[in-house]
Amino acid sequence: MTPRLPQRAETVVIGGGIVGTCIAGFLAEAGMAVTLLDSGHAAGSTSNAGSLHVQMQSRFMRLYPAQVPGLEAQLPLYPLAVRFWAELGARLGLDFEMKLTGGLMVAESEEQLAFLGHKAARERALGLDVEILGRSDVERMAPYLGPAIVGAELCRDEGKLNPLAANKALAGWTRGLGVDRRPGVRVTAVAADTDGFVVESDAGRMACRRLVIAAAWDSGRLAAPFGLAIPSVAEPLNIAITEPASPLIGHLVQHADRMITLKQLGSGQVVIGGGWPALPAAGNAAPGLELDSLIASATLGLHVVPALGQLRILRCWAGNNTVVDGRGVLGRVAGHPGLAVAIPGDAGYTLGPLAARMVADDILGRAPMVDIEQFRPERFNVALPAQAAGDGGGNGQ
Amino acid sequence: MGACQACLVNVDGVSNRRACMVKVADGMVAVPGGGLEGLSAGSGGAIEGFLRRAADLPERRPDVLVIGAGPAGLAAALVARRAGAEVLLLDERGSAGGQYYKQPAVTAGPAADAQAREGAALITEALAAGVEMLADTLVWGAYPGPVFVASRGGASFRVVPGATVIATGAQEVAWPVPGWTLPGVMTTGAVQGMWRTARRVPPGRIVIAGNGPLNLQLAAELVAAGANVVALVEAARAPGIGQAGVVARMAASAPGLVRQGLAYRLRLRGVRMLWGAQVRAVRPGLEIETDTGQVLAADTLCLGYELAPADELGRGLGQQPGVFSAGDCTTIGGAHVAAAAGALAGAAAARHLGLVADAGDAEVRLARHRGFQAALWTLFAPARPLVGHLTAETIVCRCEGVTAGDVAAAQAAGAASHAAIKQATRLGMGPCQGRSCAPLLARLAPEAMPAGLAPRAPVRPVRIADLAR
Repeated sequence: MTPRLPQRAETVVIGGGIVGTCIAGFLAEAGMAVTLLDSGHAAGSTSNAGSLHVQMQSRFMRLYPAQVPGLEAQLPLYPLAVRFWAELGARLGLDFEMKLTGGLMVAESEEQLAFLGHKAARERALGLDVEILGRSDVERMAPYLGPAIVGAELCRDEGKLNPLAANKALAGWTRGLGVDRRPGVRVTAVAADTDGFVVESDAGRMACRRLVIAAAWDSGRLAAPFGLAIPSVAEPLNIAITEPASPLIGHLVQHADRMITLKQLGSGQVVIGGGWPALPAAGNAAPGLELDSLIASATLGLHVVPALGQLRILRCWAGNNTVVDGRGVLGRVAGHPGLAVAIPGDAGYTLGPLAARMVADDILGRAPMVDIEQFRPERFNVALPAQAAGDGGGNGQ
Repeated sequence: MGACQACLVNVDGVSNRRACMVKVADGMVAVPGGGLEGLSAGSGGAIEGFLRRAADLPERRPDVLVIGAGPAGLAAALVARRAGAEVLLLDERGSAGGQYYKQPAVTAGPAADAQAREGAALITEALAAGVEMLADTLVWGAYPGPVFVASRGGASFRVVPGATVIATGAQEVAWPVPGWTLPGVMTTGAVQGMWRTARRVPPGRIVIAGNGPLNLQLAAELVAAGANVVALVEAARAPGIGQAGVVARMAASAPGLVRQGLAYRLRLRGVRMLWGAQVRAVRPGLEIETDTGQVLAADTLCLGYELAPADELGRGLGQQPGVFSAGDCTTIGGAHVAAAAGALAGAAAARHLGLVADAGDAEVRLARHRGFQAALWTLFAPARPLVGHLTAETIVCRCEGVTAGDVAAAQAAGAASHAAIKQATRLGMGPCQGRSCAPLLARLAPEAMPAGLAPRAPVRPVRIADLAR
């Protein structure tokens, strides 16, 4: 049913999520002929539910303590990435229903508040605009929060957008630029060829001069033939969405010690996520849902925002977050002219457009707006393992 | 009823309750409006032990769980119970019986008819046999194991059964023509439910349109109740002498049902019959246009064209040992087929537990009633295929206000699968969770890959407070 691929293309981008879509668009804006392949339907893994994250997520710090240095290393990217989202929408005249209402990470004990204080100090040192609020500030700014909340860390750069609106708008933008979008094409193998690359897929074989791997957790498999051992894994997470309600929750809400993210979209629907696991699925199938995750996230949501009680959950789904080493994997691959990788790192949707811009600029030979060196794929070069171990520290910028 | 979520009201301050499922009580305040009015700061309160997991939910471990207390579920429960199994029978409604054996909820008005009396006797029999029946209990989730989750009275519980019979019946499929969402347009099942439970008939001139015997039955019931049924529009051709053989076959397999059918016809002598016609459009007013060129005026239009299996739980769960499905949630076959299939499923569930079960003559009844259904539907074969008449402005997804034109635009912009169409248009993202619009989308975009509208828990919207308590 899927149409066969043409035999030749100039530039192939594998992965039609936020990253691949933006790279395809940026390269097409520079005059390249781009073919965009996606194994499902583009931007269809539904891994993002619209949060724009800036502060470090406590969930990630607890689950992957070894990756905190990597996370801190790319922390300065997050406020830039949120700004880039706004600039992109303005430049292209696209409405992503973006709202920078700020984010609150709530605490319900002095111990948790102290943890937030420590975290905020580290983040401020890296240039983030964060502050600690006490109970009276919380009551004033976020009266919807429950009585158990004693304080919070406020990050003004955080917010939310509507990913359905954003994906649709950006897909339209790439279409207008002539990007050849090919949903439903699963890439089975890639290899270097005399004059570039060969892409094998279930819709046929295609040769290209330039290849960009922007396939999230599947990128590790696709980059392996080029001597890169990128340990990208899918982390399926449970997300629940309620029916619409009158505006109440302005902020993106997280918790210092519990896995929850909670926000109210422009539609009035409340989205409850935050890292509760779903069941990994084989191949391209959707991850399975776990009852534990639904109950825990709903109960947490009710605890943090008591008014949620009478809202009904309409749907649950599971999306795949991509975990590597806490840091993005971005840019051209040394020794393979024409090849680039683009995996943005934790909170990949927030970082997506900026990461795409950095990789596109790297491909186009322009100086990226943010230094890309520490994100280069070579740290996973199996021929040079020492390099990966050598620069793991949290140097910041 | 209960499936489309198009009737949400705020009842006594609780938003998004289904008007079709709430019994009216003295002093009750019901106002239009769903969740948009529903959220205000400060309601609710802190809860204890907030890190709940599934294991914290109260748990039931019956030998056999039966979901749905219609003809199939009641029969399954009775057979399994008589085989010695401890049976828990759950139903979403206020009373057992399902659509076919629907029990009156009021004492005013005419007494229950034979069909309801038959159901009442069956319910009494099941209770007497020791079946535990819980009404007002919504099973909204089925997880691998299997583990089922249900809500009742504002709290949730888990059921981990030894064996399961899913008997969740059918739901009506919207008739996709311009105007199907207008006020005054209802489904045949909704009006029949209103009459059978609340002894109310719609006001003014009533037109009933659709395909199959249910419309005929409703017309006869409404006429007997004194309602003003002005016309019946039936997609099948008028039965003629050439079909005498079919009727004879039906009479041989179920003489009582044929007698009943003839009685309906006699009662409808004053009603205008339009055979071989389908509703093509409804204009405000209501002005009903048929595909044969007639125009009818009405105050209420009942549409009853197709039923679809309410199979979300079984489909979401997939094949599991010890889980059986029976009745209209598998294939639409009507109450008598469902009762026979339910008895067989109840026996299979009991045998799965190592019990000796006897489904009586269920095999014979199943074959006989399937034969009757096959013959019946040759009589009611539509004169022309039932496809409706979707114009660009016709609503396809009522929850999110998506039209057929919106779907076409999404397809033109590259949405090649149902999932992509859903993401591009929001079709299927509202409270009906795709139940109403998915069949219409399948008709509208048959070439699109059907992935993406698979049922997942919660298969019905579930209140957050009900999960946390």
